[in-house]
Amino acid sequence: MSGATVEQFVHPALLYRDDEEYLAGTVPYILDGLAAGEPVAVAVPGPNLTLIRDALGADAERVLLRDMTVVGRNPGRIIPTVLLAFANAHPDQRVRLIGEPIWAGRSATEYPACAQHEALINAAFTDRAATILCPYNTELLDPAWIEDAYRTHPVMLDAASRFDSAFYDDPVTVAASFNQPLPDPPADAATIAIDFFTLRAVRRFVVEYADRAGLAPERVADLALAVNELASNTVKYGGGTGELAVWAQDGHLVCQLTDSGHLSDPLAGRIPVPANALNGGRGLLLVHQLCDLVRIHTTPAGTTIRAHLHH
Amino acid sequence: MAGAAMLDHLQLGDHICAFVNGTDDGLDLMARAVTAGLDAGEKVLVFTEPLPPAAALAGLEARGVAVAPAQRAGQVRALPSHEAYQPDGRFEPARMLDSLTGYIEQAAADGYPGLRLVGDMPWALGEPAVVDRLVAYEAQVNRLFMEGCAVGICLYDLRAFGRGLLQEVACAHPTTLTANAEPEAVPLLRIRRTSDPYGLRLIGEADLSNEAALAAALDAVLDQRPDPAAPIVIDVEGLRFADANTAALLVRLALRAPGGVHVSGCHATVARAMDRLGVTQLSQLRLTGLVA
Repeated sequence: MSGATVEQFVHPALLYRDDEEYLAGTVPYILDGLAAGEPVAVAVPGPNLTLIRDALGADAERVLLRDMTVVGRNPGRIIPTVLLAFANAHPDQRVRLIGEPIWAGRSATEYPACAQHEALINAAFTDRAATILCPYNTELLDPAWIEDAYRTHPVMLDAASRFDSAFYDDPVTVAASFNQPLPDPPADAATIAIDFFTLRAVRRFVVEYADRAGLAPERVADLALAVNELASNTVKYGGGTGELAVWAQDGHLVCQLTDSGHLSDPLAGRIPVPANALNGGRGLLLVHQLCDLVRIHTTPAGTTIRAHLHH
Repeated sequence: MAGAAMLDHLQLGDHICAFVNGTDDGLDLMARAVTAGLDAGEKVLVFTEPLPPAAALAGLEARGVAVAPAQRAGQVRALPSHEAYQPDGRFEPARMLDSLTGYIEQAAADGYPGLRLVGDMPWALGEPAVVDRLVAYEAQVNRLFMEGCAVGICLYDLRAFGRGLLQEVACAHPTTLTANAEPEAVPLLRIRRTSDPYGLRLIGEADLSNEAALAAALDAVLDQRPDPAAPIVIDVEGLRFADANTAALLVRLALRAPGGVHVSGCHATVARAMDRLGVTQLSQLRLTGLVA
């Protein structure tokens, strides 16, 4: 990368087959950044984080290291709370990051939100002075997920070469391709109507459900806050009325809100706002921070938002 | 009438919006509110419409309220709503606030612990321009009630007001009693002004349904602060729930208060939400938790 031709935002995918290729693709990238005086952050799953930390030795202290399975458990919060948070903390410098949001343990339910996140990085970082490298394990991940990486990353790296992706597409279009109907809730899901006058009842309803389901008190409070924000959005922007359905599924609680609104901004809830500019529109940003997964299907005819919370 | 049990447990400082379904239901609610006021030894002032005062008092009597002796003792008084709110045919919110202040001071001067005001609100529909001012007035009047010398119960007839307007009106009250509400004994939110330290005490839950009331109370506490350099203390020890917008309102207050804002007694859940919204990074806003 010679200075004259460096684009503002660079977003390569790193295709790796094993630890050796992983370290060869990440460690020199980190060290180059440090040598250039760039702030460097690494958010990858724990075992890979350990590999990088060990390989960096004393240099590890100069890098912000975060376990992506924790900070990026919900892919919807990675852009605001990990990537843009780091870039915004260094406003006058080019920043360098590694973000690995897709690992072998990601479920089929989580994956569409991960792919949307990868696509929307390109929209959120337009004209930002940053490089974000996204490693993909070609041995362990679903081949379809690797194909999607070609659509969400303008540049591809593998052990042998660096090349432009022939399949890279407009980020909003790619994200929209994952905006698909969600499977129906189970027949025994508990439901309650949402409107301006039922917010307290809606909070009480989810708290009682979550208490019975054995959610820890702290998580119950998070859930009440998240559901309240989503229900408030229904009242304010979603046609005024809607429905909440709650059920337990595979060790977590799912809360689904349906209303007649349309979430037309694909970056809604993904752009951090400084505290001194807080306004009423921070609900979805908070929901992404509180929940382990947020799935959205939105059309001009109505919106379904599904928030998952683990025990 | 479901949920009306709350009317038995109101305290000086409460400001309640109550929806009623027609005149009879309105009288039922009014009877309950007046009884509670008389039992508390407060001065009770009733603004009534469309029933003239004599008919309203007779309706209360018929519902078992001992109106006659209270009336003889000067403890209860009824006025036509339009006369109270629109003395010359016009509704002037500032004048109305002055007039309410006068009633509250008179009740104190007469030795009552406080004033209980029960108002029928259909007068507000008479004049289109009034409707616009009504919501602003209902928000502003919180600054009187939060002083803790009066209770306000505003009766809105579901048959007379449209849903959109009722929602705006409700939002300007800390608590709304709806026709189909769960039987709640405790108001959703109580707002009280404190003097030492100067600020507000919030008790209950702050959400979209009462955000205009809270915003108006925060504006008032800023406007009326005696010492611009001293921090405004918002005591939230009794606040069990606060949404993202509540955090935004506190930030807006902190940015406008030269002495900053101290949010004290924060529950862990409220503190975590504030932290996630970045509020704790602001130098103008100090947040402290519950004292263990």
